[in-house]
Amino acid sequence: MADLREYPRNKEGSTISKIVVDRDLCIAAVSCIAVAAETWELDDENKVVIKDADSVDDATLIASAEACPTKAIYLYDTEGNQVFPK
Amino acid sequence: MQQYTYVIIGGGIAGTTAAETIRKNDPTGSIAIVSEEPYVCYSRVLLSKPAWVLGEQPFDNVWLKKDDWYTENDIHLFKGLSAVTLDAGRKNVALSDGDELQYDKLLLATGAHNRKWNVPGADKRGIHYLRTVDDARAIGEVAQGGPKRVVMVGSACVSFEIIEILHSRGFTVTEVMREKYFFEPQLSQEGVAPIERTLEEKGITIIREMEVAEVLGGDHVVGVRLADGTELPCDIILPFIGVELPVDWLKAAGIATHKGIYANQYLETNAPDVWTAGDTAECWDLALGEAVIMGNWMSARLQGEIAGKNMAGPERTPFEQVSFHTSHGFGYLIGWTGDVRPLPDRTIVHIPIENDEQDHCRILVRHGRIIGGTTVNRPDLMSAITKLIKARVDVSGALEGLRNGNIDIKSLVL
Repeated sequence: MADLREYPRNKEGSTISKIVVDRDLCIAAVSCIAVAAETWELDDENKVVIKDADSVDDATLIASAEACPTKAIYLYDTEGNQVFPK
Repeated sequence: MQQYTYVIIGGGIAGTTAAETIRKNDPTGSIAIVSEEPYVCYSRVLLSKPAWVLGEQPFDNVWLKKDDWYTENDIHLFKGLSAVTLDAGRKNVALSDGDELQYDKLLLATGAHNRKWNVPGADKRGIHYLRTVDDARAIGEVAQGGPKRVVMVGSACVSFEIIEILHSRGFTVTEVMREKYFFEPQLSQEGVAPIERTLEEKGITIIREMEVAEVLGGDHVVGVRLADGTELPCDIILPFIGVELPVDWLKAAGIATHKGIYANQYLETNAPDVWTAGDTAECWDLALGEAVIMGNWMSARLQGEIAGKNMAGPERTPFEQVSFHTSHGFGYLIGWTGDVRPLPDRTIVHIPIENDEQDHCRILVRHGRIIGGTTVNRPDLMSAITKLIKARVDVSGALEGLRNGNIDIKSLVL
Protein backbone atom coordinates (compact mmCIF):
# COMPACT_ATOMS: atom_id res chain seq x y z
CA MET A 1 0.00 0.00 0.00
CA ALA A 2 1.26 3.39 -0.93
CA ASP A 3 1.76 5.81 1.91
CA LEU A 4 -0.60 8.60 0.82
CA ARG A 5 -1.23 11.73 2.80
CA GLU A 6 -4.23 13.92 2.01
CA TYR A 7 -4.61 17.63 2.59
CA PRO A 8 -7.82 19.64 2.07
CA ARG A 9 -7.62 22.95 0.21
CA ASN A 10 -10.21 25.63 0.83
CA LYS A 11 -8.88 28.53 -1.15
CA GLU A 12 -11.53 30.89 -2.41
CA GLY A 13 -11.96 30.77 -6.18
CA SER A 14 -9.81 27.65 -6.51
CA THR A 15 -11.01 24.59 -8.38
CA ILE A 16 -8.56 22.35 -6.50
CA SER A 17 -9.91 21.08 -3.20
CA LYS A 18 -7.57 18.25 -2.29
CA ILE A 19 -3.81 17.71 -2.44
CA VAL A 20 -2.33 14.23 -2.01
CA VAL A 21 1.33 13.37 -1.50
CA ASP A 22 2.65 9.87 -2.09
CA ARG A 23 5.30 9.70 0.61
CA ASP A 24 6.86 6.57 -0.85
CA LEU A 25 7.60 8.44 -4.05
CA CYS A 26 8.82 11.64 -2.39
CA ILE A 27 12.61 11.83 -2.58
CA ALA A 28 12.87 15.39 -1.22
CA ALA A 29 14.09 16.78 -4.51
CA VAL A 30 12.23 19.85 -3.18
CA SER A 31 11.31 21.02 -6.67
CA CYS A 32 7.85 21.80 -5.31
CA ILE A 33 9.33 23.95 -2.54
CA ALA A 34 11.34 25.99 -4.99
CA VAL A 35 8.19 26.72 -6.99
CA ALA A 36 5.90 27.32 -4.00
CA ALA A 37 7.75 27.68 -0.70
CA GLU A 38 4.56 29.09 0.84
CA THR A 39 2.81 25.77 0.27
CA TRP A 40 5.39 23.08 0.94
CA GLU A 41 8.01 22.20 3.54
CA LEU A 42 10.12 19.20 4.50
CA ASP A 43 9.26 17.18 7.60
CA ASP A 44 11.63 15.30 9.92
CA GLU A 45 11.62 12.27 7.63
CA ASN A 46 12.74 14.42 4.69
CA LYS A 47 9.37 14.08 3.01
CA VAL A 48 7.38 16.97 1.66
CA VAL A 49 4.31 18.01 3.65
CA ILE A 50 1.86 20.88 3.31
CA LYS A 51 2.71 24.07 5.18
CA ASP A 52 -0.27 26.07 3.91
CA ALA A 53 -2.58 24.47 1.35
CA ASP A 54 -4.30 27.77 0.54
CA SER A 55 -1.26 29.96 0.03
CA VAL A 56 -0.88 30.04 -3.76
CA ASP A 57 -3.14 30.23 -6.81
CA ASP A 58 -4.05 27.16 -8.85
CA ALA A 59 -1.50 27.83 -11.59
CA THR A 60 1.37 27.96 -9.08
CA LEU A 61 0.11 24.90 -7.23
CA ILE A 62 -0.09 22.93 -10.48
CA ALA A 63 3.38 24.17 -11.48
CA SER A 64 4.76 22.96 -8.15
CA ALA A 65 3.22 19.51 -8.73
CA GLU A 66 4.49 19.42 -12.31
CA ALA A 67 8.02 20.18 -11.12
CA CYS A 68 8.14 16.96 -9.08
CA PRO A 69 10.55 14.52 -10.76
CA THR A 70 8.75 11.47 -9.37
CA LYS A 71 5.12 12.63 -9.81
CA ALA A 72 4.48 12.26 -6.09
CA ILE A 73 1.91 15.07 -5.90
CA TYR A 74 -1.72 14.57 -6.96
CA LEU A 75 -4.34 17.30 -7.22
CA TYR A 76 -8.12 16.78 -7.15
CA ASP A 77 -11.00 19.12 -7.99
CA THR A 78 -14.15 19.69 -5.91
CA GLU A 79 -15.86 16.79 -7.72
CA GLY A 80 -13.08 14.42 -6.67
CA ASN A 81 -11.62 14.15 -10.17
CA GLN A 82 -7.86 13.99 -10.44
CA VAL A 83 -6.68 17.14 -12.24
CA PHE A 84 -2.95 16.37 -11.96
CA PRO A 85 -1.27 14.26 -13.20
CA LYS A 86 -3.73 13.72 -16.02
CA MET B 1 9.04 5.03 -45.11
CA GLN B 2 6.42 6.20 -42.65
CA GLN B 3 4.99 9.69 -42.41
CA TYR B 4 4.18 11.60 -39.19
CA THR B 5 3.24 15.22 -38.52
CA TYR B 6 5.49 15.24 -35.47
CA VAL B 7 8.56 13.09 -34.99
CA ILE B 8 10.28 13.20 -31.60
CA ILE B 9 13.73 11.68 -31.19
CA GLY B 10 14.10 10.71 -27.54
CA GLY B 11 11.56 9.13 -25.19
CA GLY B 12 12.71 10.68 -21.93
CA ILE B 13 10.93 13.35 -19.94
CA ALA B 14 11.60 16.12 -22.51
CA GLY B 15 10.40 14.14 -25.54
CA THR B 16 7.43 12.62 -23.72
CA THR B 17 6.28 15.93 -22.24
CA ALA B 18 6.55 17.46 -25.71
CA ALA B 19 4.32 14.70 -27.15
CA GLU B 20 1.82 15.19 -24.35
CA THR B 21 1.72 18.96 -24.95
CA ILE B 22 1.42 18.58 -28.72
CA ARG B 23 -1.54 16.23 -28.26
CA LYS B 24 -3.27 18.79 -25.99
CA ASN B 25 -2.83 21.48 -28.65
CA ASP B 26 -3.29 19.36 -31.77
CA PRO B 27 -5.81 16.54 -31.32
CA THR B 28 -5.34 15.02 -34.77
CA GLY B 29 -1.70 15.43 -35.93
CA SER B 30 0.16 12.13 -35.96
CA ILE B 31 2.98 11.78 -33.41
CA ALA B 32 5.89 9.34 -33.22
CA ILE B 33 8.50 9.04 -30.46
CA VAL B 34 11.74 7.19 -31.18
CA SER B 35 13.34 5.86 -27.99
CA GLU B 36 16.73 4.23 -27.76
CA GLU B 37 15.66 2.36 -24.66
CA PRO B 38 13.08 -0.40 -25.03
CA TYR B 39 10.86 1.17 -22.34
CA VAL B 40 8.12 3.71 -21.73
CA CYS B 41 9.03 7.05 -20.13
CA TYR B 42 10.42 6.74 -16.61
CA SER B 43 11.78 8.91 -13.81
CA ARG B 44 15.52 8.91 -14.28
CA VAL B 45 16.12 10.68 -10.97
CA LEU B 46 14.79 7.66 -9.08
CA LEU B 47 17.49 5.40 -10.46
CA SER B 48 20.10 6.57 -7.94
CA LYS B 49 17.77 6.74 -4.93
CA PRO B 50 18.21 4.22 -2.09
CA ALA B 51 14.67 2.81 -1.97
CA TRP B 52 14.85 1.83 -5.63
CA VAL B 53 18.43 0.65 -5.80
CA LEU B 54 17.91 -1.48 -2.70
CA GLY B 55 14.53 -2.83 -3.80
CA GLU B 56 12.64 -1.36 -0.82
CA GLN B 57 10.16 0.25 -3.20
CA PRO B 58 8.50 -1.54 -6.10
CA PHE B 59 10.77 -0.86 -9.05
CA ASP B 60 7.64 -0.32 -11.15
CA ASN B 61 7.21 3.09 -9.52
CA VAL B 62 9.85 4.40 -11.92
CA TRP B 63 7.47 4.24 -14.90
CA LEU B 64 5.81 7.59 -15.51
CA LYS B 65 3.64 6.37 -18.39
CA LYS B 66 1.94 3.08 -19.23
CA ASP B 67 1.76 1.50 -22.68
CA ASP B 68 -1.94 2.40 -22.69
CA TRP B 69 -1.16 6.10 -22.41
CA TYR B 70 0.63 6.02 -25.76
CA THR B 71 -2.25 4.15 -27.40
CA GLU B 72 -4.94 6.38 -25.87
CA ASN B 73 -3.16 9.50 -27.06
CA ASP B 74 -2.40 8.03 -30.46
CA ILE B 75 1.35 8.41 -29.99
CA HIS B 76 3.43 5.77 -31.72
CA LEU B 77 6.41 4.76 -29.57
CA PHE B 78 9.29 3.14 -31.47
CA LYS B 79 11.08 1.30 -28.66
CA GLY B 80 14.72 0.30 -28.74
CA LEU B 81 15.60 2.27 -31.87
CA SER B 82 17.84 5.24 -32.42
CA ALA B 83 17.99 7.85 -35.15
CA VAL B 84 21.15 7.53 -37.22
CA THR B 85 20.93 10.18 -39.93
CA LEU B 86 18.92 13.30 -40.53
CA ASP B 87 18.17 14.93 -43.87
CA ALA B 88 16.79 18.31 -42.80
CA GLY B 89 16.16 19.34 -46.40
CA ARG B 90 14.02 16.33 -47.29
CA LYS B 91 12.70 16.23 -43.73
CA ASN B 92 13.43 12.65 -43.00
CA VAL B 93 15.19 10.66 -40.31
CA ALA B 94 16.73 7.22 -40.81
CA LEU B 95 16.44 4.79 -37.90
CA SER B 96 18.82 2.11 -36.71
CA ASP B 97 16.61 -0.65 -38.13
CA GLY B 98 16.82 0.87 -41.64
CA ASP B 99 13.31 2.36 -41.59
CA GLU B 100 12.81 6.04 -42.44
CA LEU B 101 10.45 8.56 -40.89
CA GLN B 102 9.18 11.56 -42.82
CA TYR B 103 8.23 14.52 -40.62
CA ASP B 104 6.58 17.91 -40.86
CA LYS B 105 8.09 18.94 -37.54
CA LEU B 106 10.96 17.35 -35.67
CA LEU B 107 12.06 17.50 -32.04
CA LEU B 108 15.58 16.48 -31.03
CA ALA B 109 15.39 15.41 -27.39
CA THR B 110 18.19 12.89 -27.46
CA GLY B 111 19.41 13.44 -23.91
CA ALA B 112 22.87 12.77 -22.59
CA HIS B 113 25.01 9.65 -22.64
CA ASN B 114 27.49 8.69 -19.96
CA ARG B 115 31.03 9.61 -20.81
CA LYS B 116 32.84 6.39 -21.48
CA TRP B 117 35.74 5.65 -19.21
CA ASN B 118 38.76 5.19 -21.44
CA VAL B 119 41.53 3.92 -19.19
CA PRO B 120 43.25 0.65 -20.19
CA GLY B 121 41.22 -2.29 -18.94
CA ALA B 122 37.94 -0.35 -18.71
CA ASP B 123 36.19 -3.06 -20.74
CA LYS B 124 36.47 -5.70 -18.01
CA ARG B 125 33.46 -7.14 -16.23
CA GLY B 126 32.62 -5.50 -12.91
CA ILE B 127 32.46 -1.95 -14.25
CA HIS B 128 29.05 -0.30 -14.04
CA TYR B 129 27.65 2.96 -15.34
CA LEU B 130 24.36 4.50 -14.27
CA ARG B 131 22.01 6.22 -16.66
CA THR B 132 19.41 3.80 -17.94
CA VAL B 133 16.90 1.44 -16.36
CA ASP B 134 19.08 -1.50 -17.34
CA ASP B 135 22.13 0.12 -15.69
CA ALA B 136 20.08 0.72 -12.54
CA ARG B 137 18.87 -2.88 -12.42
CA ALA B 138 22.44 -4.13 -12.73
CA ILE B 139 23.66 -1.84 -9.93
CA GLY B 140 20.65 -2.83 -7.82
CA GLU B 141 21.60 -6.47 -8.18
CA VAL B 142 25.16 -5.72 -7.03
CA ALA B 143 23.98 -3.52 -4.13
CA GLN B 144 21.50 -6.13 -2.92
CA GLY B 145 24.15 -8.87 -3.00
CA GLY B 146 26.98 -9.39 -0.51
CA PRO B 147 29.26 -6.49 0.46
CA LYS B 148 32.09 -5.80 -1.94
CA ARG B 149 35.04 -3.50 -2.37
CA VAL B 150 34.13 -0.70 -4.74
CA VAL B 151 36.17 2.04 -6.38
CA MET B 152 34.10 5.08 -7.30
CA VAL B 153 35.45 7.44 -9.95
CA GLY B 154 33.99 10.94 -10.24
CA SER B 155 32.75 13.36 -7.61
CA ALA B 156 29.31 14.65 -8.54
CA CYS B 157 25.74 13.91 -7.41
CA VAL B 158 25.30 10.36 -8.64
CA SER B 159 28.60 9.21 -7.10
CA PHE B 160 27.66 10.87 -3.83
CA GLU B 161 24.23 9.20 -3.73
CA ILE B 162 25.45 5.74 -4.73
CA ILE B 163 28.30 5.88 -2.17
CA GLU B 164 25.74 6.28 0.60
CA ILE B 165 23.68 3.37 -0.71
CA LEU B 166 26.65 0.99 -1.04
CA HIS B 167 28.07 2.08 2.32
CA SER B 168 24.71 1.30 3.95
CA ARG B 169 25.06 -2.24 2.57
CA GLY B 170 28.49 -2.74 4.13
CA PHE B 171 30.56 -2.09 1.00
CA THR B 172 34.12 -0.84 1.37
CA VAL B 173 34.18 2.37 -0.65
CA THR B 174 37.20 4.18 -2.08
CA GLU B 175 36.45 7.39 -3.93
CA VAL B 176 39.01 8.50 -6.53
CA MET B 177 38.54 12.03 -7.86
CA ARG B 178 40.41 14.27 -10.23
CA GLU B 179 39.08 17.29 -8.32
CA LYS B 180 40.24 18.72 -5.01
CA TYR B 181 36.89 18.01 -3.34
CA PHE B 182 33.35 16.74 -4.02
CA PHE B 183 31.20 18.95 -6.28
CA GLU B 184 34.11 21.21 -7.25
CA PRO B 185 33.72 23.96 -8.46
CA GLN B 186 30.00 24.34 -7.94
CA LEU B 187 30.29 24.41 -4.16
CA SER B 188 33.05 25.95 -2.08
CA GLN B 189 35.66 23.79 -0.41
CA GLU B 190 34.54 25.07 3.02
CA GLY B 191 30.93 24.21 2.21
CA VAL B 192 31.83 20.66 1.25
CA ALA B 193 34.37 20.06 4.07
CA PRO B 194 31.78 18.92 6.66
CA ILE B 195 30.23 16.54 4.12
CA GLU B 196 33.59 14.98 3.33
CA ARG B 197 34.39 14.78 7.04
CA THR B 198 31.20 12.78 7.57
CA LEU B 199 32.11 10.41 4.73
CA GLU B 200 35.60 9.86 6.12
CA GLU B 201 34.28 9.32 9.65
CA LYS B 202 32.08 6.58 8.23
CA GLY B 203 35.11 4.84 6.76
CA ILE B 204 34.98 6.01 3.16
CA THR B 205 38.44 6.67 1.73
CA ILE B 206 38.68 9.78 -0.45
CA ILE B 207 41.66 10.06 -2.79
CA ARG B 208 41.78 13.57 -4.26
CA GLU B 209 43.46 15.01 -7.36
CA MET B 210 44.16 11.53 -8.62
CA GLU B 211 43.32 9.43 -11.65
CA VAL B 212 43.09 5.75 -12.29
CA ALA B 213 45.85 4.73 -14.73
CA GLU B 214 44.78 1.17 -15.35
CA VAL B 215 42.17 -1.39 -14.42
CA LEU B 216 43.75 -4.62 -13.17
CA GLY B 217 42.47 -8.14 -13.66
CA GLY B 218 41.81 -10.73 -16.33
CA ASP B 219 38.27 -11.02 -17.56
CA HIS B 220 36.92 -9.42 -14.38
CA VAL B 221 38.14 -6.42 -12.39
CA VAL B 222 40.43 -7.22 -9.46
CA GLY B 223 41.77 -3.75 -8.77
CA VAL B 224 43.05 -0.45 -10.10
CA ARG B 225 46.48 1.10 -10.43
CA LEU B 226 46.46 4.83 -9.74
CA ALA B 227 48.55 7.44 -11.58
CA ASP B 228 51.00 7.53 -8.65
CA GLY B 229 51.53 3.76 -8.91
CA THR B 230 49.42 2.75 -5.90
CA GLU B 231 47.42 -0.42 -6.46
CA LEU B 232 44.00 -0.79 -4.86
CA PRO B 233 42.26 -4.16 -4.89
CA CYS B 234 38.53 -3.99 -5.64
CA ASP B 235 35.61 -6.07 -6.93
CA ILE B 236 33.67 -3.44 -8.82
CA ILE B 237 34.28 0.03 -10.29
CA LEU B 238 31.66 2.70 -10.84
CA PRO B 239 33.02 5.41 -13.15
CA PHE B 240 30.52 8.28 -13.09
CA ILE B 241 32.61 10.82 -14.93
CA GLY B 242 30.04 13.06 -16.53
CA VAL B 243 28.11 13.03 -19.76
CA GLU B 244 28.54 13.38 -23.49
CA LEU B 245 25.94 14.82 -25.78
CA PRO B 246 25.46 12.81 -28.95
CA VAL B 247 25.49 15.53 -31.62
CA ASP B 248 27.86 14.21 -34.32
CA TRP B 249 25.07 12.75 -36.46
CA LEU B 250 23.35 16.15 -36.38
CA LYS B 251 26.48 18.10 -37.26
CA ALA B 252 26.63 16.04 -40.45
CA ALA B 253 23.07 17.21 -41.19
CA GLY B 254 24.02 20.88 -40.85
CA ILE B 255 22.44 21.41 -37.43
CA ALA B 256 24.36 24.05 -35.49
CA THR B 257 25.94 22.49 -32.45
CA HIS B 258 28.51 23.29 -29.81
CA LYS B 259 28.61 20.91 -26.86
CA GLY B 260 24.87 20.47 -27.29
CA ILE B 261 22.39 21.42 -30.00
CA TYR B 262 22.14 25.18 -30.39
CA ALA B 263 18.70 26.72 -30.09
CA ASN B 264 17.18 30.15 -29.58
CA GLN B 265 14.88 30.95 -26.65
CA TYR B 266 11.98 29.30 -28.51
CA LEU B 267 14.00 26.07 -28.67
CA GLU B 268 14.23 26.32 -32.46
CA THR B 269 17.43 25.02 -34.03
CA ASN B 270 18.97 26.61 -37.14
CA ALA B 271 17.09 24.14 -39.40
CA PRO B 272 13.48 24.87 -40.41
CA ASP B 273 10.86 22.95 -38.40
CA VAL B 274 13.46 21.38 -36.10
CA TRP B 275 13.32 22.03 -32.36
CA THR B 276 15.38 20.72 -29.45
CA ALA B 277 14.70 20.17 -25.73
CA GLY B 278 16.18 18.54 -22.67
CA ASP B 279 19.71 17.59 -21.63
CA THR B 280 21.10 17.92 -25.14
CA ALA B 281 19.71 21.41 -25.84
CA GLU B 282 22.07 24.35 -25.62
CA CYS B 283 19.53 27.11 -25.75
CA TRP B 284 19.61 30.86 -25.44
CA ASP B 285 18.96 31.97 -21.88
CA LEU B 286 17.23 35.33 -21.81
CA ALA B 287 18.32 36.16 -18.27
CA LEU B 288 21.97 35.20 -18.72
CA GLY B 289 22.36 36.41 -22.29
CA GLU B 290 24.18 33.29 -23.44
CA ALA B 291 23.43 29.77 -24.65
CA VAL B 292 23.46 27.23 -21.83
CA ILE B 293 22.99 23.51 -21.32
CA MET B 294 20.75 22.93 -18.33
CA GLY B 295 21.10 19.18 -17.82
CA ASN B 296 18.51 18.71 -15.12
CA TRP B 297 15.07 17.16 -14.81
CA MET B 298 13.14 20.33 -14.17
CA SER B 299 14.46 22.12 -17.25
CA ALA B 300 14.09 19.04 -19.43
CA ARG B 301 10.43 18.75 -18.51
CA LEU B 302 9.67 22.43 -19.08
CA GLN B 303 11.66 22.58 -22.31
CA GLY B 304 9.66 19.60 -23.54
CA GLU B 305 6.46 21.43 -22.73
CA ILE B 306 7.55 24.69 -24.40
CA ALA B 307 8.92 22.91 -27.48
CA GLY B 308 5.68 20.92 -27.78
CA LYS B 309 3.61 24.08 -27.53
CA ASN B 310 5.74 25.86 -30.12
CA MET B 311 5.68 22.89 -32.49
CA ALA B 312 1.88 22.72 -32.36
CA GLY B 313 1.76 26.51 -32.85
CA PRO B 314 0.69 29.05 -33.80
CA GLU B 315 2.15 31.05 -30.88
CA ARG B 316 5.82 31.02 -29.93
CA THR B 317 6.60 30.88 -26.23
CA PRO B 318 10.14 31.47 -24.94
CA PHE B 319 11.76 29.10 -22.48
CA GLU B 320 12.51 30.98 -19.27
CA GLN B 321 13.24 29.26 -16.01
CA VAL B 322 15.33 29.44 -12.89
CA SER B 323 16.05 25.76 -12.60
CA PHE B 324 17.54 23.87 -9.71
CA HIS B 325 18.37 20.41 -8.58
CA THR B 326 19.29 18.68 -5.35
CA SER B 327 21.30 15.77 -4.09
CA HIS B 328 20.99 13.86 -0.81
CA GLY B 329 23.32 11.72 1.15
CA PHE B 330 24.62 11.10 4.66
CA GLY B 331 22.06 13.50 6.12
CA TYR B 332 22.94 16.37 3.81
CA LEU B 333 20.61 18.05 1.34
CA ILE B 334 22.58 19.95 -1.26
CA GLY B 335 20.79 22.36 -3.59
CA TRP B 336 21.90 24.12 -6.76
CA THR B 337 19.83 27.04 -8.03
CA GLY B 338 20.22 28.95 -11.29
CA ASP B 339 23.66 29.35 -12.84
CA VAL B 340 26.22 28.10 -10.30
CA ARG B 341 29.37 28.29 -12.43
CA PRO B 342 31.95 30.41 -10.61
CA LEU B 343 33.17 32.21 -13.75
CA PRO B 344 35.43 35.28 -13.54
CA ASP B 345 32.58 37.74 -14.16
CA ARG B 346 30.70 36.68 -11.03
CA THR B 347 31.15 37.76 -7.43
CA ILE B 348 30.75 34.93 -4.97
CA VAL B 349 29.17 35.91 -1.68
CA HIS B 350 29.22 33.51 1.23
CA ILE B 351 26.14 34.07 3.37
CA PRO B 352 26.72 33.47 7.09
CA ILE B 353 23.94 31.29 8.50
CA GLU B 354 23.17 29.49 11.73
CA ASN B 355 24.96 26.21 12.23
CA ASP B 356 27.58 27.31 9.72
CA GLU B 357 29.85 24.35 10.56
CA GLN B 358 27.38 21.99 8.86
CA ASP B 359 25.10 24.11 6.71
CA HIS B 360 26.13 26.44 3.96
CA CYS B 361 24.89 29.08 1.57
CA ARG B 362 26.58 31.03 -1.18
CA ILE B 363 25.30 33.16 -4.01
CA LEU B 364 26.77 34.22 -7.34
CA VAL B 365 26.20 37.82 -8.34
CA ARG B 366 26.70 39.38 -11.77
CA HIS B 367 26.00 43.02 -12.64
CA GLY B 368 24.40 43.52 -9.23
CA ARG B 369 21.95 40.65 -9.64
CA ILE B 370 21.93 37.15 -8.20
CA ILE B 371 22.22 34.57 -10.96
CA GLY B 372 22.80 31.42 -8.93
CA GLY B 373 23.29 29.92 -5.51
CA THR B 374 24.20 26.75 -3.68
CA THR B 375 22.95 25.63 -0.29
CA VAL B 376 23.59 22.78 2.10
CA ASN B 377 20.65 21.76 4.30
CA ARG B 378 18.66 24.93 3.61
CA PRO B 379 15.84 24.32 1.10
CA ASP B 380 14.12 27.45 2.43
CA LEU B 381 17.07 29.60 1.30
CA MET B 382 17.02 27.84 -2.08
CA SER B 383 13.52 29.07 -2.52
CA ALA B 384 14.44 32.66 -1.55
CA ILE B 385 17.40 32.63 -3.95
CA THR B 386 15.20 31.27 -6.76
CA LYS B 387 12.76 34.15 -6.25
CA LEU B 388 15.52 36.77 -6.19
CA ILE B 389 17.01 35.43 -9.42
CA LYS B 390 13.62 35.31 -11.10
CA ALA B 391 12.68 38.85 -10.07
CA ARG B 392 16.16 40.12 -11.09
CA VAL B 393 16.34 42.10 -7.86
CA ASP B 394 19.25 44.53 -7.74
CA VAL B 395 21.22 43.46 -4.65
CA SER B 396 24.35 45.54 -5.26
CA GLY B 397 23.57 47.79 -2.28
CA ALA B 398 22.98 44.79 -0.02
CA LEU B 399 26.10 42.72 -0.74
CA GLU B 400 28.08 43.94 2.25
CA GLY B 401 25.13 43.35 4.57
CA LEU B 402 24.61 39.87 3.14
CA ARG B 403 28.29 39.09 3.56
CA ASN B 404 28.48 40.20 7.19
CA GLY B 405 25.10 38.83 8.20
CA ASN B 406 23.37 42.17 8.84
CA ILE B 407 20.89 41.55 6.03
CA ASP B 408 18.73 38.42 5.92
CA ILE B 409 18.59 37.26 2.31
CA LYS B 410 14.93 36.32 2.73
CA SER B 411 14.11 39.95 3.54
CA LEU B 412 15.16 40.96 0.01
CA VAL B 413 12.37 38.87 -1.54
CA LEU B 414 9.67 41.27 -2.70
